[in-house]
Amino acid sequence: MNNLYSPIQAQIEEIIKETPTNKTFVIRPEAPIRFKAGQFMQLTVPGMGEAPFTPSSSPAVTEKMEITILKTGTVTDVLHTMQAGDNVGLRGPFGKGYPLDKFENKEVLVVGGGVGLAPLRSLILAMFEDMGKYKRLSIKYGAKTPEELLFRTSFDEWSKKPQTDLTVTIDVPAPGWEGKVGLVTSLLDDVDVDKPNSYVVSCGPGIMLRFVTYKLLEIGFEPEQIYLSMNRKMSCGVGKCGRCEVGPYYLCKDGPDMNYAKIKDVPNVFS
Amino acid sequence: MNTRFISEGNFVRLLDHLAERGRVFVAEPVEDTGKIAFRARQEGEGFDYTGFRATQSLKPFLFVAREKVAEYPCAAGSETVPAAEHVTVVGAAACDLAALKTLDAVFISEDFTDCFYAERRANTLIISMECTDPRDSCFCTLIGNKPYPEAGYDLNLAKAGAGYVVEVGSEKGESLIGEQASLFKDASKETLAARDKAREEAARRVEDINRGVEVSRSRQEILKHAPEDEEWHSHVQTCVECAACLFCCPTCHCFLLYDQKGAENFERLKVWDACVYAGYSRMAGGGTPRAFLVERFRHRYAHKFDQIVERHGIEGCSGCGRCIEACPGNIDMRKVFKALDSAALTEKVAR
Repeated sequence: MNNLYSPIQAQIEEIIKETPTNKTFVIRPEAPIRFKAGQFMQLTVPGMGEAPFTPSSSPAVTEKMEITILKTGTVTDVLHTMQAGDNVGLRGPFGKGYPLDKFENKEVLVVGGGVGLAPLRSLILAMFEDMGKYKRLSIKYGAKTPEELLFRTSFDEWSKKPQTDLTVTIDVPAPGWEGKVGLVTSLLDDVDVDKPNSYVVSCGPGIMLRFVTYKLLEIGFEPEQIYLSMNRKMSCGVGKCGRCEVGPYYLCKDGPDMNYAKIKDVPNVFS
Repeated sequence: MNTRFISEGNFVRLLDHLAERGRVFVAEPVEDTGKIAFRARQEGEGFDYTGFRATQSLKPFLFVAREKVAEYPCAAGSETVPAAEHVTVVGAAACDLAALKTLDAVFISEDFTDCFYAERRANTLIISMECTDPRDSCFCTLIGNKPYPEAGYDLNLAKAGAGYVVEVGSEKGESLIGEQASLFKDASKETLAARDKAREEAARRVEDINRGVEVSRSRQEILKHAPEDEEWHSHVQTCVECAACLFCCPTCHCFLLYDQKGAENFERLKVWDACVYAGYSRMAGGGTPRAFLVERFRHRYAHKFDQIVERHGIEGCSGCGRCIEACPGNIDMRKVFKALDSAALTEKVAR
């Protein structure tokens, strides 16, 4: 019988310093891993434990995956000290992944905050693989400072893709920054997607998800059109250990991206 | 399945036979405590029929409190595999059997099965017994269960003079009786009638114990309409976050995968965890959906009586009353539901 808790071996091939607090780890598992954009992996730091991460790379590439990680806790602190050539473990993929089939012939508004752009990049790259299927991809991204903007070197390339536009903002003015200033919600004020024929996908800190959701509802989106990458502590990844529960759902099995209509009445849903 | 009779002497022989397959655990009274514990049986020992559930449930036999579930890195062929020891447990109560429905639904599912639980489950033979001595904490009848096993056992015992009426509840039980046919004889009509009378009596006693804490609708309904704060705050006052209620619960199944350095390589343990602990749902960076005790307290009820019901169609409670018995703060789930039910009704009227 398959042991759900045993990781497979993987090696860190390269580490890319993205921002002062984020690194992308290029990881080669001992066997290719097929995943859907939005599905997540449990990454083992030997002896330290596991933490859940959604790959930031395209699902079209299976022999290696990129995972972009914010330094923010016991496991990620150690990860940030690791070097190319170090070994890690992987379990997964887990979760449902983004409902790309639903997005066909629709406009997709992607709203990211901080490291939240990491899982969204996997979605963006997956959509680029077959952009003819979608009417439009509109990306709104915000970070605290210009240095904290993830994947900035890709922005030009993304903007040039067919039916794609990208707007970026930083929270407060910074020397040398000539772009937009304000929280990512401010980019939603003049959003011009065809609302009845669109979906929104958002990922970021809980407080951002809360205000993005409120703003989206205010400007006329329905809860059913909103997908949120929810944040909860996870351990088993397979709906048994109990902790990632949001109402009757386990994020590890039913998410981590949840349709807002399903969870809107859950107490403290955004915390 | 058929009903048989076994004398006390022959039951000892049956247990000796089962001991050849693996360890046998028997529920027996712990001197001077009024409590009952599962103890590893020594050869030749019989069964001291207690008629009340043990302090411990069946959970630790199947879902171990702390267990190694993986070693890494590991060479092909040396993977951590579940222990396949045969275990017999004698003296489980109906509430223990009912609780296994929840654990089975969680750990053995179409998409993901926990091989450690599944392997133990398959290798455990359960000989249950009837409750003849329900105590104040018992509330199986409120949950819709009975103080006597109706399903989920391999064999079930009811005390009858100097022996037991034996009910066969599974193929495993059936084949055991077949192998050891000479130890059994037919149960007489009189012993069966006496057993059924004792059953009715026990059920009536549990109902009597719970007179006054019955609720007007399903616990799921009560929770859906429970007032947000005040009522919960009044119940959480004496909770000291010890998690005794969760660890002794036969259905609570939360765990944490915990990694550490082993002798040769790294190992992963699966360790019981409890949702009343502040760290249980705390994320990297410090955020948590349940920062306050009252939220965690409420979550336990919501999980057991709403979310598990949504997911598996059964409540995460068998009415065993262990949580009531274990709580140093005298928190009684029955009274919490009664109060929530009444408060919600009052509120409705006020509106």
